[in-house]
Amino acid sequence: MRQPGGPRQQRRHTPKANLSDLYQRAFKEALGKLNPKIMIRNPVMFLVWVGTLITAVLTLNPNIFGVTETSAVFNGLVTLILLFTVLFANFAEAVAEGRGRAQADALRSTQTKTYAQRILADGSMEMVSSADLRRGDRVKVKAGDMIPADGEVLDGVASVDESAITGESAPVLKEPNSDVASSVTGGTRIISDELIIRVTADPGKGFIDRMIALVEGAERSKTPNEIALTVLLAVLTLVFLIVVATLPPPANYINSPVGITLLISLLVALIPTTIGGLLSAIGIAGMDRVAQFNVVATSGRAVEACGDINTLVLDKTGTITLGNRLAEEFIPVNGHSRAEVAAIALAASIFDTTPEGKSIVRLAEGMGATLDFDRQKAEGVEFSARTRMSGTDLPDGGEARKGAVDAIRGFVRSRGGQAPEDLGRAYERVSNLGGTPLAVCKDDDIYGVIYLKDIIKPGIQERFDQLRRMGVRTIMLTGDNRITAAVIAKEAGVDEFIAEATPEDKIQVIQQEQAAGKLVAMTGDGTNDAPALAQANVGLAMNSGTQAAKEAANMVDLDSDPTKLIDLVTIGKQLLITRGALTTFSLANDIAKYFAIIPAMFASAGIGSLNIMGLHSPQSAVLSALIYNALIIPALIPLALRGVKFRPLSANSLLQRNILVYGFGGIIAPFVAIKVIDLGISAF
Amino acid sequence: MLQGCVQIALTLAILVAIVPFFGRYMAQVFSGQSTRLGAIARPIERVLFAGAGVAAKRPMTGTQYISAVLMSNLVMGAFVFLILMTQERLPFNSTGLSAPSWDLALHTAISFVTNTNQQHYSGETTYTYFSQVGALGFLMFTSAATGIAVAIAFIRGLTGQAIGNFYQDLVLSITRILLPISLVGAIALLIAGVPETLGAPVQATTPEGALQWIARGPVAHFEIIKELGENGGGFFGINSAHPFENPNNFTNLLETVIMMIIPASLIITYGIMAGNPKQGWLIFWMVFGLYAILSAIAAIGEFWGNPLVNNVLGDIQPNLEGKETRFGWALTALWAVSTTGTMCGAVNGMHDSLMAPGGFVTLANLFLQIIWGGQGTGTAYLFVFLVLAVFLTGLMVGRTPEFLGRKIEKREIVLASLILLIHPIAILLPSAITLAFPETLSNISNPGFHGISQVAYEYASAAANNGSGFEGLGDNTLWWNLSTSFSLIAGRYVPIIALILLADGMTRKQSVPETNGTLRTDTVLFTGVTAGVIIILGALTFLPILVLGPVAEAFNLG
Amino acid sequence: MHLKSSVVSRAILSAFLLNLAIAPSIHAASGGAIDRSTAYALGLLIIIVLGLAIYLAVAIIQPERF
Repeated sequence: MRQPGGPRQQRRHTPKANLSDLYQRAFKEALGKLNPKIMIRNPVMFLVWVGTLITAVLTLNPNIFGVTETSAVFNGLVTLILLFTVLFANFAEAVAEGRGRAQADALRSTQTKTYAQRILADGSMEMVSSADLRRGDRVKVKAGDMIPADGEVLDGVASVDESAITGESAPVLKEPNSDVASSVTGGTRIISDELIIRVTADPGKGFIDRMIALVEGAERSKTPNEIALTVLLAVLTLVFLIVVATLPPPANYINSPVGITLLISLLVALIPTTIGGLLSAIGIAGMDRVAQFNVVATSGRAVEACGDINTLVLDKTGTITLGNRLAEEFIPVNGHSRAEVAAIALAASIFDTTPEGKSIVRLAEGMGATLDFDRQKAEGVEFSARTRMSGTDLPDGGEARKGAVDAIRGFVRSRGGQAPEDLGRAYERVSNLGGTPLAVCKDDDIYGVIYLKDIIKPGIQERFDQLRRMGVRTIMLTGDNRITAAVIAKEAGVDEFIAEATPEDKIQVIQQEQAAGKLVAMTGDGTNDAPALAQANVGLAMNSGTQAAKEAANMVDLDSDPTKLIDLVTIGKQLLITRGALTTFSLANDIAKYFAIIPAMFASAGIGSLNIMGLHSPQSAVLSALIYNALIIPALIPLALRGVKFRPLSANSLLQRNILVYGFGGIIAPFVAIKVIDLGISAF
Repeated sequence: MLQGCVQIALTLAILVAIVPFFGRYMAQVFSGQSTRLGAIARPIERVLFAGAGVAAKRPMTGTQYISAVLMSNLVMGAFVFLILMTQERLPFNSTGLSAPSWDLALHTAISFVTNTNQQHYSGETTYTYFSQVGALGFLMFTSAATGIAVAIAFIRGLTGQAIGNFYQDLVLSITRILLPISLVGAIALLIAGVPETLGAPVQATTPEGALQWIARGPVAHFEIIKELGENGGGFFGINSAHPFENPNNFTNLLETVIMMIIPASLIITYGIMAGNPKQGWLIFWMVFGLYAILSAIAAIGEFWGNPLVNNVLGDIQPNLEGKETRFGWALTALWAVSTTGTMCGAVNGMHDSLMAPGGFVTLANLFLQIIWGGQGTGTAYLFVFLVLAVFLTGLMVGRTPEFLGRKIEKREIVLASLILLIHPIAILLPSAITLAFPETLSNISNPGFHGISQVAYEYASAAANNGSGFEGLGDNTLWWNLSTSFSLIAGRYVPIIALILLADGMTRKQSVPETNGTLRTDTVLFTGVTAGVIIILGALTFLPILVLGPVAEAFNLG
Repeated sequence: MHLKSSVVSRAILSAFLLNLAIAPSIHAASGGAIDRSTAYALGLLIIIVLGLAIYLAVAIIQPERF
């Protein structure tokens, strides 16, 4: 059985995407995207495209709109540069899509069509293709088979190799009616025994399919922030269209007429082509990054919402502490000896298969305790959330129990016994160590307390610290008692904790936070987490969890690592920062472009002193500005795909940094670059 | 030089001293707290509300508010248009004036109802006392009050309160703010020598023995609301350059300060109503800084004078063309910046005669609309820029942008953009048409770069609801009257509709609590970024026309 | 935004028809300084600019369609 939460580098291994000939393919697609029907989806680049067509006409006949000074050669050069501007933007999108598609292909390769044994209503079997399976069908798979679709185990116990989707090589145990082990994913392979599975997803609707659709960009609908940004870009474009379209009359009035080529050049230089060309690439790359983290998101909206999260609701176990608590010590009470406690603990745990139970058995056996009854004749009592204890009914009619101290106290009282005085002290001692105390009793006598030690995941404190700096509050939920919870909370550095929490508490906490206007993220895996996962703004379900949990969540982590939520917050923020930074950069660039083009346009109006860059000639000035405008797009593709580096800083320090780099940088960089390009051009 | 600087500094110091008190007073008035004036004003208000049958306490929805603004303005405008057209038969027509042309009357009515007061006429020879005081004077109060009411509704919406009742805020603006200050101010002007009479013009014999008619009238009370309400429509054709409107340095100081106090104080009012006085002050100082820089540019331009004249003189002499010598270069430049910045539009010297830097600054003021800005609307535009700055910077810190805890989403950006868009449409489009047919349409007096400034200024003044003229245009023509009417209406009502819808939408948003990850908008850094956004967006939109107008003119002079 | 070819052809047709009204008025307004073919080209350019402005306005009001 694999445990979630191994070292990070071991967990990140999505099937390797094949990136060879990515660029050749992207370039071909960039040409294909010149189709006006596709171009019209991007308002900024569509304008450049129309401008290119008009300058192309002007190259053929420079005087079609009246006699001008611009030559056919100059018009031709402008046409070429504009065409490349459009191509570069298309290329950026195609590269992002190509990377996504490579990722998707790698995933799809796990999903080859297989055949499955469908169980018919009369119990007989029928061989069908996995593509013909429908939701609700029952199939039988046996060792060596590929599991044909996402589903829920109805019967059988088997180990399954899920390395195709998670990269984890250790096989996973699957069995029915279990929160963590009853769901299987299509494309994984069963390596022992056999299972009967109820199919829960129609073909093409499984998790892998969703992930493929998302990274390929096929089902990408714009996120709210992207829509708002699209509006802003369209507005700026319209403003500049008005500015440029109304320029000829005043220019003619002062006898300094401007050719159409120059007007188009000015328009293209001013409209936010940089961000307009990279916007969709940024979005697709964001999805891709999520996929690389082995998380399936159902929508881009969910990823973006991660950046807005105010509160993280986290389960203690598995997220903040390592999944399993281990028995560390037996503390006798009521005058019993340590060995007696060990013997009763062993008796009470002998049927307990949980890691905690096993560790108790190990500790007791290590201390030399042995069973003084026949195991075959005894009967195990399972843990339930209601009784909060488990144990063994002994052959001699005795009842050995272990469980929450309160529960055991109640049990003993019901058997006519009394809780010893020193029980409280032992309880407190364990709690103060941040451990979980389990009381052990036989019939009406409490023997002692087992100290179950909780181990906080290494590095978690640092991550919570980062979250706090970003303004994200963390709330820990645990079934532990208040004292234990407080100790763990303090040690891990969470902001708030809720002890002795029930699943209902989870949804209540979320609703409370949301009522205060906060966005809440949570992780969960059990069926009783489903309502809370649905209620949370971002619900991350574990792949090992139940189908119900996965359907209620808007993201599923294939590695079943709850701490990934923290990485998702970073990815969400990075996505927004990249958009904002490139928009600012794009706008700031306009200043330099104005200073290059305006003096060139109105050279005859005696405003030569405005040519502060000392550009060689009006024509070289316009060409340099346009070349810069075109080249900046491919230059920024890596940044768009990788995302602006995110540091866990407060909003104000982040703003200060990004304004400095992308605001001031955006003002200065084009001045330098245009001058350099101009020097290059004038050398010819 | 020194005298001029002291004059400017003194005016600014007085402004800064008044603003905190007046800002707090307005906040008290509009948050329903009791003020000392309340005891006098309340009975009057009660009678007004009862008489009008307005359920003043009931807050309006966005659409109700908008229709209240539009309907009331339409009725008032139509009413005034009728008075102007029938003025011949109405009382107080001591000079026997006949009705103006329909297009002039229409332009005048629209211009006054939009708080612009662009005048394509000379008051003393076109409109009777009744038309000026009864019709135009009435609109001077109501149009100013409309602006204040809209600003208050906008501030309420931003801070998450209901936007309030238009009629209540309109009446409160008049009874608690405009009327009391006008009353005191008019008396001060009267004492300082401004006439207030219904008597006909007097005949005088000049020293050379010639007969001269000297126009006069009920000027003092008209003058004070003209400045206080950012109206700017002069009783006389040459506005506050006329010795009966602005006789001396005291009246000039009073009028300069009083035209800025409402828009400047409204920023402080915002800070108080939003529960964040610090942000109010930061924005105030940002605008103050821009205002001071522009004033310095204009003043230095006038001080250095005209290089062509200086070359002849062999000395640097301030440019005094088109100025009143009793005010000099400094006070004229300061007035020019203040009047175009605040959308008052009154002038105490001719902007046509300003040097190129002055032309640049006054045009830039009209383009930006927020260097104090119009009565109420200017403050609201300031927040529209803040919203845009929040959107850009909010993304840069990795969150959905929020302003005052409310998310800025598509709807907000669309509405803010509408305000950003309408200004170039209302200025550049008609300017281009006019300049495309210069012989038939424009009536430009100075051809070349200056002509472009004249045309752009006229439309910018209309679209920004400023009302001042660069002058030098023969603007009482059918084309000018109608085309500027378009700019007047587009520049006034489209933004008001967008502002109210924006505020109304914000009211209904759930507020997000502030955390470490929230971008604080009350920091020096953010305020600086906002200033950058304002300048870059403004500059990018209007730089070409500025280059073809004043900038080219400056280079070609030097 | 989805483009149907019928919409495109109708738009192109109406652009040319509109130009039949615009181009002669440009020719007339210039007093003959702009010859007829240039006037038609300019008219078409003006229509393209207007079309782009309307297209951008749609993009502002209904960005979801893009």
